Amino acid sequence: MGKKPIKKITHLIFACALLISLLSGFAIADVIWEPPDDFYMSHANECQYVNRSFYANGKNGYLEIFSKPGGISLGFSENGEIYHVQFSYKLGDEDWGVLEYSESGDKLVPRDDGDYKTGWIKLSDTVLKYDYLSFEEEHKLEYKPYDGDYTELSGIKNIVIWTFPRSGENCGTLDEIDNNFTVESVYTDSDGLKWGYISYYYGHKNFWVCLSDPQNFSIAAADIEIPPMHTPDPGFVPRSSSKDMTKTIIICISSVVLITAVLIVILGKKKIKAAK
Amino acid sequence: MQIDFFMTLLISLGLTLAFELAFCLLFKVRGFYDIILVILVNVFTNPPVVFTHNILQRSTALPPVVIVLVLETAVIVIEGFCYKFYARSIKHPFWISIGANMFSYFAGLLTLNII
Repeated sequence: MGKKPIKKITHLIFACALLISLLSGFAIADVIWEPPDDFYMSHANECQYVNRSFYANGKNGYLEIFSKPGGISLGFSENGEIYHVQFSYKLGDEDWGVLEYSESGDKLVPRDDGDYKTGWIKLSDTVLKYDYLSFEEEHKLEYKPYDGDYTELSGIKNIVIWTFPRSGENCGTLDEIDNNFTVESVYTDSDGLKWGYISYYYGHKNFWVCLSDPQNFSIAAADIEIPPMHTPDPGFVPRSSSKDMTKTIIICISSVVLITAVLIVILGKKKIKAAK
Repeated sequence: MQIDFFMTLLISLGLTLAFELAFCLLFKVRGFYDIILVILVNVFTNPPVVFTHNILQRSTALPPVVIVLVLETAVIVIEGFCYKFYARSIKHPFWISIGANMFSYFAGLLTLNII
């Protein structure tokens, strides 16, 4: 084999590797995180993408978490806890959301750094947490297109990323921006601060930057009213809405034990007869 | 305790039967009656043990190792006596019981880790 075919093959392998890495890079950029939940996995096509946070707000003061829509009870979480729901599923008239939770004593809490599991909740037992979509619904008409040239952001490091204008919640910073940075809409708040909405930039989705004061971490949050939560009656202990089967299980096991004990004895008698 | 616990009981019993029968056949437990006895003895011990394990784990602060050790010892003793009194061809009932239960326990752990 001459040198040319080897060179061609090397080029071909290099081109393939480059193509695969580029394609996988684009694919990763568009990946939607999916919960490692058995019910979700088997009903993914019937689930709706939600990706929003909700306050626990069960009518009796607790939010009940289930194994699947209409499934068995896994336990209770106190009202007011914030859960992120990635997907929802409609069962009859009820909308259910899948979430991640951890166990803290006998209570369930939003996923922490330790072990976590997935579960389902009735969305009617929650209140939506105000987020960038709520902000958009409220202020969409005040949005204006961005007509600047990004000079207010050029050369600036550590641009603070906000969930929405005046949210008081930032999600880190951006290093210097490049040509892929596109502000889609501009909103001017009541103090005259200009904010720019960016739908996507290197893995960050649906966020805002303050064009007037991009590095300021401490822009005061606007008063966002948190809806009142149901509180439990004093001394109230939540009880599972799923049927408790303990008695039935004990009866079944006792029956099985009794029947097998009789059968073992019968088998033993046959052994004695056979020995005689 | 809810309806899904029946599934836990069934899976547990199925795996235990498969592993203990395999162990017994490997150690030359033969004959129709002795095979039936191995099955019956496991049906006799496994569901109550799984149930008690579940209850103790949820309602006591005992370390899991202690719970497993106490329950497995009880199972080994009960199964050993059953084989001693009722088996026809099992020559070393307690060794068979110890071996079968240890094999079943560790094979079960391995299976759960793989799954």
